[in-house]
Amino acid sequence: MIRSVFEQRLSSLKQNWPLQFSTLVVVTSCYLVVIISFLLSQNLQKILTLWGNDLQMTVYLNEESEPSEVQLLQEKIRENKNVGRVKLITKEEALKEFRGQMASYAPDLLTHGDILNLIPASLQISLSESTAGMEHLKILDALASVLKSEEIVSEVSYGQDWVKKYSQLIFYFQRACEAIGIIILGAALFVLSNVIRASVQSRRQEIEVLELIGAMPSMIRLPFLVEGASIGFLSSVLAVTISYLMYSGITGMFEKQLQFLQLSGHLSFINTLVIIFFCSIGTGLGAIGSYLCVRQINDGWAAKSL
Amino acid sequence: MIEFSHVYKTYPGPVHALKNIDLKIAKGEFVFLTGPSGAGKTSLFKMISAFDVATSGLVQVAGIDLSRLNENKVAEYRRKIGVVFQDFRLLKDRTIFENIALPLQIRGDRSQQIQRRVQEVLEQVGLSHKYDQFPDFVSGGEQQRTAIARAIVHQPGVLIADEPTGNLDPKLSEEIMDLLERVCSQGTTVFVATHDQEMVRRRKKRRVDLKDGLLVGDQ
Ligand SMILES: Nc1ncnc2c1ncn2[C@@H]1O[C@H](COP(=O)(O)OP(=O)(O)OP(=O)(O)O)[C@@H](O)[C@H]1O
Ligand SMILES: [Mg+2]
Repeated sequence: MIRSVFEQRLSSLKQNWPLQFSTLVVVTSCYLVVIISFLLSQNLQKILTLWGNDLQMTVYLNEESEPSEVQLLQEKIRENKNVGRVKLITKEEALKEFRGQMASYAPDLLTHGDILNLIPASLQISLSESTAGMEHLKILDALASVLKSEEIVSEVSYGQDWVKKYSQLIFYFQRACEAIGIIILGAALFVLSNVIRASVQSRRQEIEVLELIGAMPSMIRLPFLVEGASIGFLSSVLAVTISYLMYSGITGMFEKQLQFLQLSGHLSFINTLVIIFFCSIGTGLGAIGSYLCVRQINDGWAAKSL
Repeated sequence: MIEFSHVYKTYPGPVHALKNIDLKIAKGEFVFLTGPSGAGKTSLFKMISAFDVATSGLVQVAGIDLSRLNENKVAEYRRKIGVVFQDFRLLKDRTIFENIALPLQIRGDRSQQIQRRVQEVLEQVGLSHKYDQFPDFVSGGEQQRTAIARAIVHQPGVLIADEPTGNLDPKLSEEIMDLLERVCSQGTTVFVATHDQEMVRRRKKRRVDLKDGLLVGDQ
């Protein structure tokens, strides 16, 4: 029937609820920004991988290349363990395909005999399944520079430009997200710490009395740590929930309005492990925020106003 | 029980609040501490309650050297003493019962024990009927009696009271002093700082005089 000191103190903390509520809103917003930037960079990365996997390399061969030389080059390329498939497309095949594509646009064009000479033979190279998107580009770059030095190779193309630009964009975006994340978490820590400081100030009289009658410092501090950790925990759970709702809304849009992008199956929410990790960080941040300002209490407040 | 030897206290300034204090108070004694404002009474009490340490010299209470206590040891030490202030220092959001029970709760007594002991003390200070009231709704004298009850509920060896009657009228002051004497008669060492020369004279107890940080009288 007698409430423990701890219970009494927790219930006395509850009187601060307007302040605690606004903190909850602010900290939740901070956490939300962090989750959203994480989600964005994770999914942009996924799209990059997806597109990177589609990359193929076309190696155009010189007019005067001998079939034996071509054979040799093919074997050489196959030695590279990242290469999955190498396919020779002869002039005739290339022309046939070109004709097929062009027939409806310019039927006249194709009657010219010398057009045959304009379309070179080529090797189509695709990488093995096991390599991941980002490495793809690096492997292709390396392979291209090797192949360019071959005499029978006239040109190498693999759509490097736009993939490179996209991957660079993602790189900078991710760095920006990391920076924003750190700044925002710092801000959240600051906000939390200040709220606890306000809470400590408003409970000053209580702390003085507890000091005076010999309460252990840990007993004085614990309720504030609990307060900070609770705000941190609630905020992270709220932020995860809100971001999940936003995510569902957006993927729904990809499924309906933006179906042509064919992305919906490839996007994903942060996984459970990351959610748990994030909530622990969020909770921990709350506890740290409050520890930062309660560690200096119990150093004789009661005495100062004696 | 309380022993000061060659104690100096200098605050930044420098303000020499206490100078070469030598003082011995035996177990179970009742002692008044008097002196004009700024004489150093509160400074001396801060040292006894381990809220401050001497700049030099030795302060010992119940054989404990107070300059050598860490945070937790200070807390432990404070559980062995009782402190009463002029302004009561009660928690307004807790009942009188809860206020008095605090020292027992923080040392982890069982609730039955707490119940019994708090009732005992409530009777001793004459507040049994007010146990469920909140401090703001009882008189100043009753608040001070609650504060004293809280300071003695854990049966401390030493009770220090810094101007416990400073905010009370003469009649209530007498009541509080009577109460403190009763506490002393049960074996607790009581050390009371006061401005009230008249009352000190009437009570005929040992009296220690401070002036400008110096101990000028002990009779
Ligand atoms: N924290 C402090 N910092 C600086 N000077 C202080 C501090 N506390 C007390 N003093 C000074 O020390 C001297 C003694 O102060 P103290 O409070 O002990 O006097 P007191 O006898 O309790 O006076 P009063 O009867 O007014 O309560 C005073 O000159 C005071 O200004
Ligand atoms: Mg004083």
